[in-house]
Amino acid sequence: MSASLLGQLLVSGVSSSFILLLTSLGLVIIMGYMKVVNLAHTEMLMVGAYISYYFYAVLQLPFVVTLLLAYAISFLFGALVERTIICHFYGKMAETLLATYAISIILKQLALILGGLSYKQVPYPTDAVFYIGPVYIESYRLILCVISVIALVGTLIFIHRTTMGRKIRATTQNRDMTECLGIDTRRVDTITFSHGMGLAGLAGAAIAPLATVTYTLGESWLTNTFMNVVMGGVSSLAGTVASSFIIQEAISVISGFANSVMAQIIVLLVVIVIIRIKPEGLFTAKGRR
Amino acid sequence: MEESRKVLLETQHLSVEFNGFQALTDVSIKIYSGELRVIIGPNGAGKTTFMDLVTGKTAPTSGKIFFEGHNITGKSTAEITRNYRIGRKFQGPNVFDNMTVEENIQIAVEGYNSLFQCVFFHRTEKFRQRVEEILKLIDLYEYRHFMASDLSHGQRQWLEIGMVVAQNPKLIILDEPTAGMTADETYKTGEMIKKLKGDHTLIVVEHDMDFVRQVAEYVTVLNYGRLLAEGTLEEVQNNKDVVAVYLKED
Amino acid sequence: MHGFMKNRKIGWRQLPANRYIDFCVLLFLVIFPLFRNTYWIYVMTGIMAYMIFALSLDLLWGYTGLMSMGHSVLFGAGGYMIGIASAYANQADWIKFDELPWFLAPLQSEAGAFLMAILVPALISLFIGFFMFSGKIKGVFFSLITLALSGVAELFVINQSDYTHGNSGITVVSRTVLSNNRDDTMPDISFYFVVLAFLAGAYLICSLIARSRVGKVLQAVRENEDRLTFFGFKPAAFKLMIYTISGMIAGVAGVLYVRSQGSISSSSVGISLATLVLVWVAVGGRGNLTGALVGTLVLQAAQTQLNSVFSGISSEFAQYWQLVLGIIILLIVFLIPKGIVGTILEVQQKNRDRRRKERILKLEEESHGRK
Repeated sequence: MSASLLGQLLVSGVSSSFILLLTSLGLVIIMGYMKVVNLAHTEMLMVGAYISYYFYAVLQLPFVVTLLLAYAISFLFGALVERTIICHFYGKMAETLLATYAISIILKQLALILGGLSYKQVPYPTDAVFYIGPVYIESYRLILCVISVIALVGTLIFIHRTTMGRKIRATTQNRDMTECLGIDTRRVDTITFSHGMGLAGLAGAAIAPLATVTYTLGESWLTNTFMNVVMGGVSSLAGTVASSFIIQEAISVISGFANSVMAQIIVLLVVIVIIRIKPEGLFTAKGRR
Repeated sequence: MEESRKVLLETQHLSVEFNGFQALTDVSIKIYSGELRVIIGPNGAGKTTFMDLVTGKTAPTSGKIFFEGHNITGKSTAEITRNYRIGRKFQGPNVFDNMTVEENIQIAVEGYNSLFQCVFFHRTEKFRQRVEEILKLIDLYEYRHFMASDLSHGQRQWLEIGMVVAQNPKLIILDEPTAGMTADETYKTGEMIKKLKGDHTLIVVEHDMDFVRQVAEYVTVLNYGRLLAEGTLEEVQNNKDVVAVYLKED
Repeated sequence: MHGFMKNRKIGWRQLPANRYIDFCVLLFLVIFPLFRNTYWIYVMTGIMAYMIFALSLDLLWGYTGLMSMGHSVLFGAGGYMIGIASAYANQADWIKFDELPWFLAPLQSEAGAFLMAILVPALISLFIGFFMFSGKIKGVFFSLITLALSGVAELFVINQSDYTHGNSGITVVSRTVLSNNRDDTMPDISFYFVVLAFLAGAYLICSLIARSRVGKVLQAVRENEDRLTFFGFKPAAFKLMIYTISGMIAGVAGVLYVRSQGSISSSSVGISLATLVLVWVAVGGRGNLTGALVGTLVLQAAQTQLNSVFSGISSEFAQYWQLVLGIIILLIVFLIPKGIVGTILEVQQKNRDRRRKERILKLEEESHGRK
């Protein structure tokens, strides 16, 4: 394999890693801070992609506005779902999984019924291509990296530098104590869940130009995002960042030798072996960072 | 206590420290085979810490623990349970909720717990009798088909005592067995524990003084992590230091 | 001692409610072919294979508390072994190879193919189970890894199109017990009863396991794994064993399903089937075997029935069924989280406990009176 091909694989691996980080972030937030596994997460990506299609491609709104709208709509939907469904099943793993699965198939079927079978294309907001020697990168992928970093840093600031974030962390540490301090933990739950869903919607809208927007878009992200959560663990976002890079770089590089499916299988097996050694995920932080 | 009796458990100069907090200091206790030892002491006296050390949940900072002459200091809980037969009942009922009372006891009965033994298990008369004996001991025979979750709090405590007994351990450690029980239930628990004495060696940690009076022969008093007094209940009750501590408490 | 003996003789009125339901299901399945046409017999044969699949999941999820979200991998592994064996035996036109590679060579013989269909799922679950259970991976992480597994497995099957014919699937499977030759295909009705016999056998095996000491230990793993360790058990060994057994039963279910339908496609290993089987077991009620049977039967029969009713009105009924399914799941988790059969059993147990309590109190009063 030539050096330039390897370089190309590494570079596209980096941008894919940022994309994986972006698409997993909401899932990790909800799982880490609420102990809720949201199986509807990837369907929210799909919903976000449809939002991107209708607002950006059809209504021709500016892309940034579309992203913010995707976040807002998903946030509101998340609040609705948390208040009506999720809040009844805290601490019940099987019920939560079933309920979020139910939401996911309802979302998917609604997308099929309302959006039809056809593939929707969302144009690239920018279509320039940069060259670094023989290695090229699409400008939109660079923008996605930036969006990913903004989402990550924004979330970190939200969790660590705001009053609401402090309440979220307090609720995760000790719910009863937090309630005794007069904090409405139900509201905290709603906001945490909604933020996670909002991030999923945002991520979906952001990746829409790279994907074919159709009702099965969520499914294609399911394996990688959940594998990422398993490997990175939920105790720190650093673990998610690291595992996004390890998984996606490994897949990119291995697909250069074999095909992408084989790469995914190898990575999954490695993940299984890794969590055999470190069951809590890659970064077992003592406290949340 | 006559020295001719066999020592089952011995701790030598046991000390433990958590982040600068001295939980136990130089505690040396001998427990004899077949005795029922009650450990009392005010909150924070180090009673639960002592139990944690014996069952391997915590490792001591210094000192040694001997069980039947074997040094078990620093061994893991699983190893101690399996190889040295020390059974412990934790505070608060910890049973298999969605299984019947009988099934709970059946699981715990000793000698049927490797995968091989379970696969080739068949209910012998001996097994049946053992389960029945324990169900009667803990007074839950009539309740044997109830789901453990449907029992009262006191009955669940008994069920767990029964499960510990079913393991047939040499040493049974009961951590506040009467917590949350009514006076009636507490009395019944006392009678149960008295029946176990002799066949088993018991260490009971308790707060309830009526209960202590009912069951205790030989009492160890801990205070601020130190051994304050040891002796028969009468001796201890007349001990100046003990009186001082308890008077101060009240 | 006589207390136990007395207790062992259980009158038919005291049987748990699910025994009656089992009997009704069996009766229903036996007389079903009398009232329905060949199409329905074909459909019901597939449903019975799915019922075996649901039973295998119930052992794992309902009894042991291991919520596998990738059980279809084991089902599909069994099915694909037969699929590949049939494609080879009948020289399907898409086949490019003359010889099967060494690891698939046993598929050339009929018995070998059947053995492989049990062995391959068993090896997959042994491998995955070994890493997960010895590594103390618990609860939701088990679910997520198995979920990822089924996602990857579906892609793998599509990818290995030399053997699996990719997205198109294998369509040359014969309706027989062992033979892979198309000419040996049985009439629908005969195969219906073959699968029914397998279902009865699987049910007996599962209920034997569930009632044995192993079964009780598995339930204790579900209830409180840490406490069990204190009694000197090694839960990992039990979990690994039940995962492997469950995998083998799922493999057999896969074989029967593929044979009953005459074909297999990648959806049989994917996430959609893996989650669907969870839904069947959840709707029927987990941890009592009967629920797995009832959930599968009710949901799958309802889907087929509604499909045939609505197909005249709208050709897109299948879409709406998924919507209906989502709403059914939500209703179940909100209203009867224990499922249909689980709820019936709970009511029965509560009633019995009440009657027993009354009896105990009466006995106690009498003995006080005598004093």
